[in-house]
Amino acid sequence: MRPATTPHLEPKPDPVMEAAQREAALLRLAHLFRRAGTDTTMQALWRAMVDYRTEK
Amino acid sequence: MQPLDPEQVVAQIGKLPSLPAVVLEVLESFEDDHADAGAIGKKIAQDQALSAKVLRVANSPFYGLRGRVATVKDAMVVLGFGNVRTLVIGAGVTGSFPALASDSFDLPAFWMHGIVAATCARCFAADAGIDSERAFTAGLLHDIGRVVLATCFPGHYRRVAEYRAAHDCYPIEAERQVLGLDHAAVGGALTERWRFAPVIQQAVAAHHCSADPAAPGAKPDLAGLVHVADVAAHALDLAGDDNELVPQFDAVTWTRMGISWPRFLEHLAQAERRAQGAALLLSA
Repeated sequence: MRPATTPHLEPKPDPVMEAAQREAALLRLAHLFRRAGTDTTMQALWRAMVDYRTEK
Repeated sequence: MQPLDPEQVVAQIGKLPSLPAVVLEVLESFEDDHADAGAIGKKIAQDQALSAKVLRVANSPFYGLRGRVATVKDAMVVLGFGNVRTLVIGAGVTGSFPALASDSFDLPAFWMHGIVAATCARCFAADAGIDSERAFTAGLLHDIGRVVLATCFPGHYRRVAEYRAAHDCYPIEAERQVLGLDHAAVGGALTERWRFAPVIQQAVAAHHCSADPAAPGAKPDLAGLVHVADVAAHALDLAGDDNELVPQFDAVTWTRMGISWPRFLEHLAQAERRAQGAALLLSA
């Protein structure tokens, strides 16, 4: 007898929803770093936070 | 409105009550590698308000033992000595101020930011070769001067909030413009009055200062670590402040810490997870 298969219940990622969440995260980061200017350390921190918020 | 006279601020700090003895002992225990958790537990048990808080947290759903923790001794096992120390410091410090009458100061957001900064400071400390528990305390209390200003000078602090809203500037710029002084200096004076370790006093007072790039062979210090942790906590954006603004990141201090960006992000992820649990300690 073949073992019963369990249906895969995990919802598929919704690309539209993911894009919207990514956009919202980027907008919030832009707001948080609105006074960052061109300082290189602030720019590096901003890039690191973009990676952190969009790759989690 | 006139700027604040520094002597007036110092006099007001002098009128604030001393920290309760049990809180001082808990703070001193950070300096002692052989601190007796049992003895500190007994002291906490003698303080009705503190024991109630400790028991409330230990019995919260977060720890899954709802209603089954009956003594401070058991609560210390459930929560861990480190968490109990955080809880006692938070409760002791908050209880030492007059009730907040200012609607321009958000105490829960203040503590959340302190917890996130403290957790980041603890995570970064090992990489920087700094004691992690001391880093946590300094991170937790780095903005304590804001509470002094908001409780002792509520009218002035409301003007600071108004100025900040009108100019969308950093809070410290608004403080300097309106009050003629800032929360870091006030926090330094308060931690001196409360007889915190000098290195913590200095970290609280200097967490917005730029490091001296010309200092030869300078090593990471606690003030620099708290600066990095403060910036990281603002960047993590967990305090729920719509007007959150990441402070200027001092390049010399950051370089001196010797933490790579990938490592920094690993620490952020760890700090974000831990901060959620630690927040429970101070919201009880």
